[in-house]
Parts: sequence; C-alpha cells; structure tokens
Amino acid sequence: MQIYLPIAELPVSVLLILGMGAAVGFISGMFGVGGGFLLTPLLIFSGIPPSVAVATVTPQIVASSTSGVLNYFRRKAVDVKLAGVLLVAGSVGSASGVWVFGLLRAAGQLDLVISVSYMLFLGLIGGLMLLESLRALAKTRAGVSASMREPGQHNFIHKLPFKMRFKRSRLYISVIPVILIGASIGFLGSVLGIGGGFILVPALIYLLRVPTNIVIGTSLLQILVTMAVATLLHAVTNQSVDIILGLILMVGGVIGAQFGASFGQKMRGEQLRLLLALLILAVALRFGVNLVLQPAELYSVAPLAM
Amino acid sequence: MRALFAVVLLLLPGTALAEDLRIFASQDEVAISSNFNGIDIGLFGAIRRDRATVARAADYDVVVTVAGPPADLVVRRKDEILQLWINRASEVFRSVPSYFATLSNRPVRDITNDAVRERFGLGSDRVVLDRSAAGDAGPEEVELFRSALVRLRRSEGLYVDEPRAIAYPMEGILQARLHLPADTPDGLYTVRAYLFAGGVLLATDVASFEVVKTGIEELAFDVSRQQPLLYGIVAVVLSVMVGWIGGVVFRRD
Repeated sequence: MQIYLPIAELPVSVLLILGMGAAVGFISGMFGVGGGFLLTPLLIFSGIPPSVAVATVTPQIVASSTSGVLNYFRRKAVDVKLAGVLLVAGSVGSASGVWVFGLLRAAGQLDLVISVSYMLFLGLIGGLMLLESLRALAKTRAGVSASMREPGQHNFIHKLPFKMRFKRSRLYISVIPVILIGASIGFLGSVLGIGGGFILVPALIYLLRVPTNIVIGTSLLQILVTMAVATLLHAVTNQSVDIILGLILMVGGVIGAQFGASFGQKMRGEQLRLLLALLILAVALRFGVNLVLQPAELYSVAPLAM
Repeated sequence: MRALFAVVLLLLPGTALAEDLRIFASQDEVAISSNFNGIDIGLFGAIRRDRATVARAADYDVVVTVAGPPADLVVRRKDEILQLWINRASEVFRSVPSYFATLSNRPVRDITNDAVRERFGLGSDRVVLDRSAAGDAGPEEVELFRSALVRLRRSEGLYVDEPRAIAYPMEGILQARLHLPADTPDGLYTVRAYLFAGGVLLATDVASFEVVKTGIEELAFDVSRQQPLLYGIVAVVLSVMVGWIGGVVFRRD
C-alpha cells in the first residue's frame, strides 16, 4: 500500500515505513535509546530527502520519549531540576542547530555534514561503548560484578564554579558542564535528527556521575522537550516536517518499542551494550563508505533555496 | 535563418493558415491524493485541413511538449577533497520546467531541423537553455552542468522523450498517453502542440491542465507553508498524544 507524503512530495510504501518505525522502536525499547540515529539514516537510505528525514524524525522522537518519560515519572526516576537546566540549554542549542541546518541546506552541504557527523559521532560513541562493554564482559567472566558508576571518584568537573544542588540525583555540581552538555545535545539533535540519548546517557553517567536509575528518565525528559522545540523550529524555518511520514513512524515505533523493551529485559546489560555498540559502528561505517567511495553520479539537482 | 523567418511568419496573427491543429488533455485537473502513485493522462488532437489546401506530398508530423511549473534549480558536482566526495562547484538554472515531456510520432530530429528544435524547445535536451545566473564558469563548464541536469531529470522520469508516443487512430485525429510520475510537481502544466509537414511548421496550439494536491495532502502542505507555527504545534501535540496513548495502551507496570 502506497501513501503520498505531502511535504516530501513522493509516495512511500506504508508497510515499509511502519516496519522501519517498528524495527527502530524495537531497538530503542531494547536499549533504552531514542533510535533517531538509526531512523534518520534508514529514511535517507530509502530515498526520503535528508532535510525531510531529519526534520520528521524529531516529532517521532517526541512521541517515543513521551511514553518513556511517563513510565519513569510513575517510578519517580526523573530529576526534574537537572532536566530543567539541561533543557533550557538544550532549547538554545536546538534553536541554533535549526538555524545552522537551514544555512547548510542552502549551501548544499547538509548531506555532507550529516554524513561526516554521523560517521564521527557514531564511530566515536560506538567505539567507546564497544571497549567499555568488552571490558565489562571480561570482568564478569573473571567474576567481578560490573558497575557503571564508581563512587568517590572526582574529576575536573567537580572543580568548576557556579555549583548547584540537584536533590534527586544527590549531586552538588557546577552548572557549566550541565549547560554545555544540554546545549550540544540540542544542537546535534536538530542538525542530525537524533534525540542524542546515546550521547546524553553516557555523558550524564560518566561526566556528571548522575545515578544510573535517574539517568534514563531525566535524559528522556530533556530529549522530549528539546525535540519538541526542534520540531516547532524545523516547521517554522525549514518547513520540512512531514506530518504523515511522522505519524506512520510513530505508530510503528510505539508498537515496536513495547516488544523491544520486554526483549531487552531478558538480556544482560553488558551484552546489550555490546550489541548496541556494534549496531552504532555499523551505521558509522555505512556513512563512511558512502563518503570515501567515488559516487556513480557526481552531479545532483536541488531546488534553489530562497 | 530562413527557417526561423518562415516560422515567425507562420506565427504572426492573422496569417491565413491552411492547416489547423487543436490539442486537448483528457482532464483539466489531476488530483494528488493520499494514494497518488503517478498517473497516465490522455492527450487528443485534431488536424483540420482547409478544403482549398491541396494535399501535401509529405505526411503530417506532430510534436507535443508538456511543461510543468517552472522552478529555480541548483546543480552541484562532487569533487574529491581529502579522500572525501564533497559538493563543490554548482550552477544555478532559473525557470527550468520541473517536468518536461516531448511526445512525437517519430524522432523529433527526423521531423525538423536544429534551429526549429532549439527555437521551440522540442526535446528535453533543448529545453534548459537559460544560462547560469552566476556566470563565472565558462560555457563548456555550464554545458556539463546543463547536461547533468537533463540526465538526472530523465533518470527520475521527470524529463521524458517519447518519439513514438503519438498515434493516428484515424485520419486527422491524434492521440497520445502522457505519464506523470509519482513525484510529479504540482502546478500548472502547459501542453503545446506543433504540426509539421516536410520539416515546416504549419500550426500550433496550446492547452493546459493543473496538478493539485487534494484532501489531507493539500491541507498539510498549505498549513506547513502558510501557518508553519500552527503546523509545528499540531505536529508536537500529535506526537505527544501518540506517545501518551502508546504508553497507556502498552503500560507494563
């Protein structure tokens, strides 16, 4: 069954898009990530213009994080104050991201920046995760229980000024790194069409030492709000949010996420992280190959931006 | 030059034409609805010969062009920089038809000469003639971009040349089928028909039809352009609702 997308201005197969949404939803439910970093490339590789793909994944991330946030709120596993600081910074970041996105699109370099950033970020994060999970797996094999947070360790971040107390996370830290992290996630999110959970979660754990049980709910709330802001801004500045495409993705994603979550609970944390790391590296590799190999067609046509 | 002169004479108003040509599209409006996946529309025409005109030795040839709404396009070329393939040079082409079809009863180059083809834009290779607005590149360089534009549009099915698309079901009647692809742009399409005999243009006619989005597609597109903030708010509210409903329906605890 085909459906015509009003903003992308081309027909797509409903089942294919539903399937993509469901597959990415499954993975996001399984690993507790938004899945934007997989969904955006999938859409691009299946022929949706990159500008529409990026802008349309933002509302899809809003939908998938809404159901997650509700879950964590019920369990009181959200640090609202920390999320508040993150998302004020995040909104500023995402506004500048949308602006840069428009500039890049007009200059014809959007695809390049998307590809290079995906390759670099996913390669870096995937590589780090791979090492970390391999180390954790080796440790568990040796009989030591793996822990993500090693208490009592202080890094340079704890020496910065403007300290603020975050009660639920039991933290007393400087707001500077919080603002920087929030703003960069917001920026990356709107330029690359990713929620940024896969960067935000490790950043909160390793840099700010937020307790693991608070991290996911808090990062989901931050992602929800910054992506809502990004959706609004993409709609206003670039007019490339395709609501029909978004809705199909959301429905698929919500369903897939449920199965993914129950599947993920059956697996061990280190194994999950290893799998996720491999997945992220595979996407990074795909972008890298596209950039390095000589394309069959060197020319491309695009509408001239105003 | 002489051919051009003859053509201009023929186009002058009030010139007595021995032959007359009419062209029609089978529909005035093509609706893009949610199940739109490209469409075929019929083109019909009639050739009428004045009773006083003697029958010509050569057969009639008909060329029909269909031009979609004009657009300003930019063509970019990738170059290898530091091992990476990156968009570098670009050329802007203004008022290029977003869709262009040339239908004829036999190859256009057999019907008439180059000057006429160029003058009337017969064939997708003849249509994008407007030179770059930037203009710092040499003509050979611009030509590379121009031919790339035509090649890309052809491979997308947006520029079509069908040298055997026009048939004559009976004398004086012509018919052709025009395929509009799934990603055909919306707007006004102009159908121009040219009647030739022995390479000489005898008559022309113009018709048009409109491709419009309808229903939810029209609504979504119009709101996204005219009320972008409202569109964004609706998108956010919808996403939160879908997420919330999903969370409630599949509540696990």
